[in-house]
Amino acid sequence: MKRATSPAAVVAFVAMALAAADVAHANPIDAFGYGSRAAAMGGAATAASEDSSANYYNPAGLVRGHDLRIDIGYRYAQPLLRMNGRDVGVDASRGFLVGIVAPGRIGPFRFAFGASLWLPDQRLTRVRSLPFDQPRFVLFDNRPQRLYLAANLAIQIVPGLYVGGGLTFMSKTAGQLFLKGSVAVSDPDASSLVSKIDVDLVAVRYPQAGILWEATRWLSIGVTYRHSFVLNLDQQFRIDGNIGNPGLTPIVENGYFAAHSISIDLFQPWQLTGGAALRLKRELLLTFDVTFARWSEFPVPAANLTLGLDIGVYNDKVMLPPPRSYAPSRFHDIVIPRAGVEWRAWQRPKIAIDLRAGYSYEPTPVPDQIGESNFADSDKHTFSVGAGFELARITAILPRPLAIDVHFAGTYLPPRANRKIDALDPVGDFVADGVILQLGLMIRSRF
Amino acid sequence: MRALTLVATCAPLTCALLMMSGCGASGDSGGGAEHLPVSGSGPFTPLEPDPSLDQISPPFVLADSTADLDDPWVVDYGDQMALWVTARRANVTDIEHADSFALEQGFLPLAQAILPDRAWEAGAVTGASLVAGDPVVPGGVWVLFYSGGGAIGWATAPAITLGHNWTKAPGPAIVADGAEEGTELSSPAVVRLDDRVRVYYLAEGAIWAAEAPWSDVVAGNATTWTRLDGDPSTAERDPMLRAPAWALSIGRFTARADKTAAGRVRHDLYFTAVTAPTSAQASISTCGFASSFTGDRFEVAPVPILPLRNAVHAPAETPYRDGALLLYIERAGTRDAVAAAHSP
Repeated sequence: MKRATSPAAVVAFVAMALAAADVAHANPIDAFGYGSRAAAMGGAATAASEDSSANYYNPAGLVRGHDLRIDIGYRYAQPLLRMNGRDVGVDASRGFLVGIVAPGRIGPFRFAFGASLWLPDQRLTRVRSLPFDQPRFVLFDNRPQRLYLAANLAIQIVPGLYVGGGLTFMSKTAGQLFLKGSVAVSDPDASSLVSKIDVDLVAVRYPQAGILWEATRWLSIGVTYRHSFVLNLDQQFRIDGNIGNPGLTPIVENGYFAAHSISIDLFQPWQLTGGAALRLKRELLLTFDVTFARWSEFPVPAANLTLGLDIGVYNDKVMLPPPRSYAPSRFHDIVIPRAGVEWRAWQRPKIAIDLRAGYSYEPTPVPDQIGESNFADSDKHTFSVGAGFELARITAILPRPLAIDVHFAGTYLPPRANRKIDALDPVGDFVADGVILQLGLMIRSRF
Repeated sequence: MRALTLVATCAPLTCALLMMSGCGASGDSGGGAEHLPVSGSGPFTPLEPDPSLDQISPPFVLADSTADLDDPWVVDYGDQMALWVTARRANVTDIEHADSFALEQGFLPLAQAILPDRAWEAGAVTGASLVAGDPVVPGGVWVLFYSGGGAIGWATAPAITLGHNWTKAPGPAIVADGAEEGTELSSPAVVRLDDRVRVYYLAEGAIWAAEAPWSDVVAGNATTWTRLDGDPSTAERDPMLRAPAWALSIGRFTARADKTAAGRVRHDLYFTAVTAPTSAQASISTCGFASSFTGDRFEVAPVPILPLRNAVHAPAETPYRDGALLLYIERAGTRDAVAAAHSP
């Protein structure tokens, strides 16, 4: 009976998550991956994750294992991204990874709860809106600079078939500043204004879900969906009151000036990933992922500014500029192939060593920058290597093996020239290229 | 017991990771806005007065109490700059030269570079423009074009002189054609385009251009110049640039033709323009910009590239450090001096 109702429960859970979610979010895990094992294997882990990294790669994998898991790690990624041969100083992304997988069982019904946290050690989040035409590495400028928290629930439908889903939590900013009172024209210091500031960090969430099928003893197949997300930055300013000099009849009664800016702070496309894991031999695991990322929905990351003014009889003396329009971003959808290999190179009763390598190719979704915008980007070739050390029975209080994973990844962005149509363009032609170096360590413990 | 196990395992691991994070904790590092590309098309902002600078008085970077300076032409070499100007003194109008190790340090005293010593120059030489040689172009010969007597002449300097000792060609390089160019040329602006030299010049209130082989110019033998058409789509010869809609007239100018980062040549003209009067602003001399990827049919910026505060003229631009630097002439007390503005 329980087995019959559990898939429906999961579907309901995912549906609830979809309904509750705001539109999309971007995060540093998309940019650099989660955990050292998966990162060392080129991020091809949709069908090969069962530790806390499954919270990102495929929530269904959470229920694959039987142990309580606690994973702790640290990751440092240093972009060395250049425009016209000069490093533009894109910030490093570094911080802690903490994850937990807690399996359970109610009769024959197996389930697992998982949570993952990426905690940057520079800033918890960065909110900024740049001038539309300011050159920037659009996929690395702001995207990695934020906290990431994902929580998932996974169940086993039948042995070998798992589903899971959950939410990723982030926050957006909405701020308002109101001033009310009297504005003294001849002596601004004599103005009497009362301020009210109201800034909210609003919780935003987006869903992810996955399915994992162990088709044979040597083949697993998985599919993961991550929802899209747009993070708006909403700012309002309004001043209300009389304009004139203290003690005299106001020149303008009950006037106001208001400015309302809405801009795009972050964007994450929805992504659908299919993956396979082939255990060709007991010591050898091959993994493959293909991700479709819907970048064509990328909105124009520019502030939409609306101004309002009422100064009575003087209204016709002031011309407020109309809201500015921007050309569409015209990003395009991309397909990202990934491949990884894991080889058990050394096996002894108390220690085992795994060697890992991977590759991914992420074509740029950014069109040639021929107009006013200056979104720098290029294709990304990522090569990764890593090692895992599995230590067994090292202490009495740690009866299950302890895994220590390290990885190094290098992402190469080949030079990409952007030629402007307009010879008068203030930025002009530019070439974007660079590398991103990444180091990580993850300690995975099982209990 | 299980909780104790968790704590005992996680605590030392967490400590180790915290130590790792401390090793890399160097704070924020700029946010991706360092060394951003700038094309040099402006707008430019005049240097602000800065009490900490005791060798220049921003926006002025070069002044001479005995001369009105005009027509700056700048060559950059890293942080260093070499500047040629027209110097109008009581007894002579000549072309003079000054070097700078860094903008904040100002320029060394002016030294004579080209004197009016040929009959055709009619007693005055003005408007130097250069193709830089060694060390800017390793081993390269320096070439300088100038205006005198309504014609355009040139001089060369061997690489070893670093552009300090000039030998004039025997006669003028370009004289007015008596047709669309009228009878008088001025304000030459030279650019090198591979194996050719292009000289823009001012005639009849517009900017025209002609080209000659580089080898002939270096040999002091440039007698054959090919007149260029500013708009090849029409039958008649057009100037490269006429006064834009927002200006009454255009005047002394400079030119650049550099390869962009994407590998194509962009032709730039920085020109003096007298604005048309409006209800908010009286007519004033300022600086404008025009550019082209083909070397003809120049597009003109719809507004001046300097704020309309004071009368300025004769702009010359150079890439400098992380941006672009515009040198121009502005009145400083009783003399015309060289001022500077930056972009962005």
